[in-house]
Amino acid sequence: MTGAPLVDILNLVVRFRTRRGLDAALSRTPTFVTAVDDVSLAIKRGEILGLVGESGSGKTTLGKAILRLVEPSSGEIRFDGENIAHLSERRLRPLRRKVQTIFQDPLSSLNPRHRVSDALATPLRLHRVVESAQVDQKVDSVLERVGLSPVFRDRYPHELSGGQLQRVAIGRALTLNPDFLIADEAVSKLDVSVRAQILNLFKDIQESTGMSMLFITHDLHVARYLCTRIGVMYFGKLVEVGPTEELFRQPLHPYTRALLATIGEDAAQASQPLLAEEAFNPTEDDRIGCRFYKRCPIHQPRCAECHPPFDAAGPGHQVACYEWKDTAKISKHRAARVTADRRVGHP
Amino acid sequence: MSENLLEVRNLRISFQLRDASIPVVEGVDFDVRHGEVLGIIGESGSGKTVTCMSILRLLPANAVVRAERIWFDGEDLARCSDDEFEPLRGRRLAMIFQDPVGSFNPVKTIGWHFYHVSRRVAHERPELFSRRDAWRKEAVAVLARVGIPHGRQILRQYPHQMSGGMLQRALVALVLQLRPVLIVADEPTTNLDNIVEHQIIELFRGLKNDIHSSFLFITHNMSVAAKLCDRIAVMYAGQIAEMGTAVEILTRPKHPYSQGLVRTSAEIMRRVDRLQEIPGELPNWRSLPEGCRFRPRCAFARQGCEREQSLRLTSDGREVRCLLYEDVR
Amino acid sequence: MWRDFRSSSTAMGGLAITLLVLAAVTVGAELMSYSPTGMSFTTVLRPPSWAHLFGTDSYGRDVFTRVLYGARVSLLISGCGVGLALMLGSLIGMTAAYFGRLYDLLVMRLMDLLFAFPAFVLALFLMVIIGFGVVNVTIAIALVYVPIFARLAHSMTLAVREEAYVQAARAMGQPPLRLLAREILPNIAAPLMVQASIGVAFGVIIEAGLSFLGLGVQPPTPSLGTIMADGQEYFRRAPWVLTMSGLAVCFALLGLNLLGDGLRDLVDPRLRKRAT
Repeated sequence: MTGAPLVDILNLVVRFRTRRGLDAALSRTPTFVTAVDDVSLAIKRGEILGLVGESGSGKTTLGKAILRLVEPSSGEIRFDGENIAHLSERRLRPLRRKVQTIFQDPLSSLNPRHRVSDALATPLRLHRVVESAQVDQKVDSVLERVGLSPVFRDRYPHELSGGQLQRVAIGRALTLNPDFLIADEAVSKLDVSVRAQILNLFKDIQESTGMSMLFITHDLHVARYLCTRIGVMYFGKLVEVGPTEELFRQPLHPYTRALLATIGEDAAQASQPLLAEEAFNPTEDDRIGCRFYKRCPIHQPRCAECHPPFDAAGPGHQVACYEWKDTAKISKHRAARVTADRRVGHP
Repeated sequence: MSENLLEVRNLRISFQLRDASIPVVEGVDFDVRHGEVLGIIGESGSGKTVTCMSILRLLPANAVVRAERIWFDGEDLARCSDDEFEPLRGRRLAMIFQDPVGSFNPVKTIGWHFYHVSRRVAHERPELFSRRDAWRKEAVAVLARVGIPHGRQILRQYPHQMSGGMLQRALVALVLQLRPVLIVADEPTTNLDNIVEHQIIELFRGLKNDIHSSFLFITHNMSVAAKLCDRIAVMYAGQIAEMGTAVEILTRPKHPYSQGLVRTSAEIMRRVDRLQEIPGELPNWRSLPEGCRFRPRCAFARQGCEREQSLRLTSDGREVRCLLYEDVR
Repeated sequence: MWRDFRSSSTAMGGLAITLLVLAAVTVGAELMSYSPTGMSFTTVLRPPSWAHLFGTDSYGRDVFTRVLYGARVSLLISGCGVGLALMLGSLIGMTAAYFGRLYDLLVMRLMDLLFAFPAFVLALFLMVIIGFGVVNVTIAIALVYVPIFARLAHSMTLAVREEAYVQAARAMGQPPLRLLAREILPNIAAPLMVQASIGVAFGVIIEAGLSFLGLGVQPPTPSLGTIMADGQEYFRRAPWVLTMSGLAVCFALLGLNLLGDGLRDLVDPRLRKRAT
């Protein structure tokens, strides 16, 4: 856990065009959507970093950008020191072996027309990981590693349950022995009992291979179980990052506190005033000042002007908030309810 | 039996496929009392959704539904024809689905939805159309009750302009407009983010005390069940494994499956080194184990479990489908 | 899959008719004792009888034999044309949808241009430019059908491209062409095949029309179109030539259409089937 980070993201911005060509030229409203809004984050070797946030926070897009499944608009993504943000596909290919991913929906992450053995053999053959003659053997050993019997070799995805499918997906990622694994809501669609099995599997694998992981999820409990550090994202911005237990014990950003309050964490609950809800979907026009301004129970006038920079609040613990020192000292009696009226300022 | 709003006896549901008939729910009995929230907890494949959809007759054409009795507020739904049932659905019986976005017509305003819902109950609630704008005023009032203060503005909005949480609130408001006697909610917060889910659950909690509807609440989330439900039925592989008060089931579960579920949910909230797993997988419909369906995965399996198990009534009022417990009947 | 196919009477009926037709035009034609081109002035314009099932035409040729050989020619031309269109069109549509941008824009607008012409008018136009003959008819049919396959492949590829398993393949480092062949093509093949079977039916109509006008297959080679053209000339005197050959065309097309319909029903709603 020492030395340079394995993945270093610097000022990453990812935008999607919503209108093109003439339509964009004539439009008076913004013609793009910013999914990742100037995020800097480092993932150390051998750690499991959790990335937590609601839908629309940009966490999934961040993962896809690292994988170069979407193109970064600006900023750097350094993998093992090399900036891969704008590398050509050809130069990128050998690196793809080192970064793998698990998706949220296990059924759609496997080609419905390929058997399990095909799905596992493809990466092996593509990158010539083993000799042609040994592919079958390797497939069997991967199946065993993820807790599936060899009988699953000839099955098709639609014959497998959610848990079994996710195991195959994990196996597929493991065939290349990657240095870095990105799991995007990998257990969200699984039942509670299956979730436990898959989480344990992740833990086992990480412990035995020392792989670094980025675990994207909206479920804080899951993040807490698996991750050593957690980053919290909101509306494209990283608002707080820190060691897991520290974050749970002493959440500093109002959004983090609200998240923890909803899952029943006492530390936050006692002093956290209720959070106002977004009435309307936030748009690009709302990207001025602190992105959390409209829902924040402790906002001040200066929060509306400029999004707060990161402030160091402890070893490895950073928070993007002007008022974090106050929240740390909030008394237990401050429980004023914030009404929704104050928030909805749309015409 | 005027205490019960809904009584279901021996519900059996199977799906007719080309080559086989797949039994999905077998021998389910439960009651919903007036003004209570009955939670149905189960994982995918337990049959919980199919059970509740069958009461509302929302299953596809190849579903075969049989029951000894489906007694609802004075009528036996099992004996009703589709024509007789039709007036009940969307009036006295209402449903809230999982996906709030999909429940609205994307090319119509929220107001349009309220108008049509109001029309549906115009007969029972003539005050909604006594004056030109009466239904609109009522809609704004109901929206306020679910925590949407700018009702008039919202009525003019289209679904895509609103966030998921807001839409779910609007959906609840629509259902309230009907003044149904029974509301079936199928995992209404699963698709929502944590904070919003929390708020919707709080909303339900508040409403529960105000309105006089009963709830049939389907969920796989223990903490949600803990906050809302009065009684809980745990389903496994098409049968009810355990039934009792919410507090009892969530603190002292008796059936090994319930114990596994509750334990896993609890563990993930604490800092444990390793989660205890329920080994194995849900049984395949085509090859159900003999006797107790949970047997292959049960740590307490013993002699006798390979025989069919029926629900036993324990001395403290719990119903458990497990031979570990004595039946006092 | 086969079990479902068997239960669809449309598909089975279509398959039966098509197989019958194929058998007739291949094996059956060879078994006929008459020659399709051999003229005999003693048996001119005889009405249908046991000796001549469809009667004879103005040159004394057995119409039934001519229809069998003609159908073979027509089906071959149409089959090749549509086959060519299937390969070329799918390739164009898939690559345009996958690679996108300028290539997509240009290529698909070209397809739109071709698609805008009524099929027969386009074929006619092409024949005038490139000349008559069997090969050229095949090319004309291919050109008429390329945009149809291209558009179909294009829209399906756009949908499949976003699926998680395609993203996973990209993340794994699969080169684009291999990805198109391994991941995308198998998942869009079915509707394309359905379209192809219906396409062959229409291809026969186009070919028949062109040959009827004298622009396609040249006499004495029989094709369904030339036979019908012949029969049309002396319809009043000997209606059976046109009628029987026309009915033969209908029969063959019925088979192909039923087969295509049956396949389409089979393929459509069963795309996602989970066994739980």
